[in-house]
Amino acid sequence: MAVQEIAGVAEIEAWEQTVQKSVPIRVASSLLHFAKRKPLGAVCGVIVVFFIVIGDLVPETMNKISRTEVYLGDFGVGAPRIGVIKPDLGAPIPYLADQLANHTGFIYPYGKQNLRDKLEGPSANHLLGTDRIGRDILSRILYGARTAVMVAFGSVIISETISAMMGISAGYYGGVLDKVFYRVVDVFQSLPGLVVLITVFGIFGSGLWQLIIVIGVYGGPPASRTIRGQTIAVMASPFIESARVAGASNMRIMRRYLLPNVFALMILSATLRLGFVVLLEANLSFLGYGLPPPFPSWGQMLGQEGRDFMRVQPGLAIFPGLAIGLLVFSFNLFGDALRDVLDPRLRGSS
Amino acid sequence: MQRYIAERILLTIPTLILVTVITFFGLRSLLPASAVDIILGEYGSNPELRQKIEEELGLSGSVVGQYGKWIGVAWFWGGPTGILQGELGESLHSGVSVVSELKRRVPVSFELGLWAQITAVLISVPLGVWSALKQDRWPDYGLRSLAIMLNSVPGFWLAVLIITFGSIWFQWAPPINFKYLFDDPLAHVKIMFLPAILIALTPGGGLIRLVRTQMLEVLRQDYIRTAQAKGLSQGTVLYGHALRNALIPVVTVIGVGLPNIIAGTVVFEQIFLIPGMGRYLVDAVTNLDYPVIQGLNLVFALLLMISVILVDISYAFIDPRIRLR
Repeated sequence: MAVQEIAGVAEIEAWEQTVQKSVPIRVASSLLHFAKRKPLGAVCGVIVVFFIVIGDLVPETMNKISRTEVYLGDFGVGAPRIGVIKPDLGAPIPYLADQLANHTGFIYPYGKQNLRDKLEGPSANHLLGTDRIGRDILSRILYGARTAVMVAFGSVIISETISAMMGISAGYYGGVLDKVFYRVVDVFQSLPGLVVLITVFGIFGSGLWQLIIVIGVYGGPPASRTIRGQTIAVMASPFIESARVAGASNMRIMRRYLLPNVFALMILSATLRLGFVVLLEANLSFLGYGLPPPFPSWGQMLGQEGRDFMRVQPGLAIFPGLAIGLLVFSFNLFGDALRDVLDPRLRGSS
Repeated sequence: MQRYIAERILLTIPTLILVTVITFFGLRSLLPASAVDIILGEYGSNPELRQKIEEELGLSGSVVGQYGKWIGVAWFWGGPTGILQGELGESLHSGVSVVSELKRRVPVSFELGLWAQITAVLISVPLGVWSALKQDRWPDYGLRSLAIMLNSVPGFWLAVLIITFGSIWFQWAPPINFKYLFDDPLAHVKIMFLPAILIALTPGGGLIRLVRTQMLEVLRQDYIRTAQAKGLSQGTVLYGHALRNALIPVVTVIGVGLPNIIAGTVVFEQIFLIPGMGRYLVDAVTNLDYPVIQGLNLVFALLLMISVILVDISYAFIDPRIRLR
């Protein structure tokens, strides 16, 4: 008996060790499993990763931008906020590209505009051509990937955090808190997205962090509905009861028992929301309420900035849109595939 | 039923009040100073003048008092008219009353949104049904990819492409002068046609998927098998039994989606120079015309709330379980 027990413990320990050791292997094998079941979804996941990596390989533009100050005019008014970028030195410089001349990274071949090569068609030097002031379109699209990915992930993380906190606590406590949160959700749902965002960014100005925070906060409460529903469903299971009997505090129950059970739902809504946010940001930038002009953003490249020159250089009209379409398409298909794998109830439903 | 409807409408009142509070205090907290500054900028700074302008714009007194004036509660003890009396103030920029401007612009945006929604339904319902009938065969794969693609491609990009290549290849450009429906119907349709189709594409993609899902769900039900066993023709089963039931959730999505589509017309009104609510908003934001901005946000919110209520009520008519709850 005793011998058997010792052997059993040893066995369990050995098993635990193999489990612990093989975490990377397990991750790899589950990824492989996913790729086998959903080849298209996996391809789209790779495309998403590609965009993320591309955005990281271009030089540290975003750090540069955040330290410069955007001058908005005397009263902070004026239509599309065509601000003059003031670098740290104080002298206004016309375009970001100049500032980036010294920061040429692996992928970004043109850190500098070249006025002699403006509005060129695709060539070996400029794979996708150049725009009206001689900036390489491919380079700007690669920068744009960074903007799009940062806004998408940043704001979705904020939305999901808010919706998880609201949804779980509303479902757990119920009562007055639930009713109040429900009203808040109602209010947020009756404010039409684009209109509110145009108002906010049009009046208070826009920037990378403003975009991330405002879009994130705006999307938070409505997403809490499904989480609240799931929380209430999980509350009925016996382990919540036993946790409470064992003396776990409210916080602990919410964090250790409820959160893990709604986490899959959060991941799903997050992946499906990413594409939506990319489109939203593109729409805002297109109208001139996204990042101020010198910052590269796909929507803005299609907007007023390029409009007058698209007849001469159609590449200005084609490529940024293709980039938006490809990224959003990948987010959507990847999200769908993930949902099929994670949530068996919905399998094959769309 | 009447009780349910009354309850549903009463429940939106606190939401509506909260929306007015957010619109008002969100904007007012930072705006008015600069709005007065803009006007003052022409005359130099003068404390007396400033006070006069503030009074004229309804910016004097406490913020809560200003809110009361805007809502129109103050009217009951001799203040100016407000929302309760059907007034939204005057534009700072043009001096035109916001309500009269909205009367001209709301129908335009509403019509555009309605055409877009109708186009989306006309395209997506047949395609969704077809996709469901050919489940897991090539037409299904093709349509599903198409639906996701429609969801992913920004509509304004397609508009830009059409305008660019239309002008390069066909020397065509969208008309600049807008014509109202009753002034020149033919020209009006010509102007609205293209934006309506482009706006329809994005929601259309979602609807194709929804119709397909619902159709597959319904086709699995017992009553469909019963109908087939009775010997009804395939057409009767499909359109009489299956499609009718499959479309119930679709109606919700269409109803709730309409105000969002109307809000989304902002972009297309900007591209195709259509004088609707969206362009009004963009102009107002540019000029910091806060009475207009407040009014527009309120009207958009109201549209959304009304359509949600209508959908809830229509749902109660369709599904007795909701009524009895």
